[in-house]
Amino acid sequence: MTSLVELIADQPTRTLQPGEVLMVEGETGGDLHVLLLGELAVERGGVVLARLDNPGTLVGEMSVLLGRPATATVRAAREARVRTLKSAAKALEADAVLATRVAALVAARLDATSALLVELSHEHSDVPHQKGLLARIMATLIGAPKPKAGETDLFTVDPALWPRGPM
Amino acid sequence: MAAPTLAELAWSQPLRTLEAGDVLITEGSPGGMLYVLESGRLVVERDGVALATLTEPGALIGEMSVLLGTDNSADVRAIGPSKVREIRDGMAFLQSQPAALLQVATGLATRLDNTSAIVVRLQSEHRDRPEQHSIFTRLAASLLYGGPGDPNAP
Repeated sequence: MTSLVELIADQPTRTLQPGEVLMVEGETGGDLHVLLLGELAVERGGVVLARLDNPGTLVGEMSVLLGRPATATVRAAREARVRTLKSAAKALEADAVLATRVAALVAARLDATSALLVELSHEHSDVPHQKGLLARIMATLIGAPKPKAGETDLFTVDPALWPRGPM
Repeated sequence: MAAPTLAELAWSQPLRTLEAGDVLITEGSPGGMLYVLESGRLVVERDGVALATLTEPGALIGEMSVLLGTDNSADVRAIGPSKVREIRDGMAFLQSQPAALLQVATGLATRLDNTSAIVVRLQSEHRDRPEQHSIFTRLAASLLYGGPGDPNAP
């Protein structure tokens, strides 16, 4: 399958110097960035949450897909090079192949997290509280609706169905 | 004009009727098919563990296997009389329906976002319990950035 980097090969690239900002928390940019090389730091409220150094990593896709401001600031941790797709929402509407690749990358993160949750729920099968929390996370990941504000009963999983099978 | 819903876009696809107990998808079977729930109640199970029930009309089933080109990663069966639209070639359907494709992508992003919100909240609530905290930190990193994340993260 053609990679995202190849699909947007005709888009401009930009080199960021260490400390230079790519995206600002709270701002609506609408751009999608793909890391080509170097390292980016993801910060929220001035605290570094993660460092990204895998070429091909997508940045800004949640903001583009959900049509909302960025929830984190992203800056170069050391010199970094990115390729940028401007007004990405429009580009995704017009290009089904591109939209499929972006959707697949989001799906891959959901899938990896889902596998991690199953692993954790087996590891913590003897801690009911912990297992309950993991079950709630899994239900949300699968697509159960978000709990309403102030809702204390978080469980949409039918208690009669959880747990089942070899634990 | 509002964008058509997935249920509307799939209305011309074959309708499949399920009784309680009928299996729609088997874990490990080849993926590639998409289903849209019209009515009823389905349960999703992985490794024999019930993960969620789906009751929302328009809920999409099978999109992960279509997008990732993988086998089905869960069992899905009806726990009440249910109706689904069956789309045999999910990828062809999505590529020919940009509106559906974007809705799928947005739906996946919403799931990721809702899950992140819960995990980040739990991470902060368990700040004083190192073992739990590290579990939520691993999950947050996987959700937010697709990787193990910064081991020194708060």
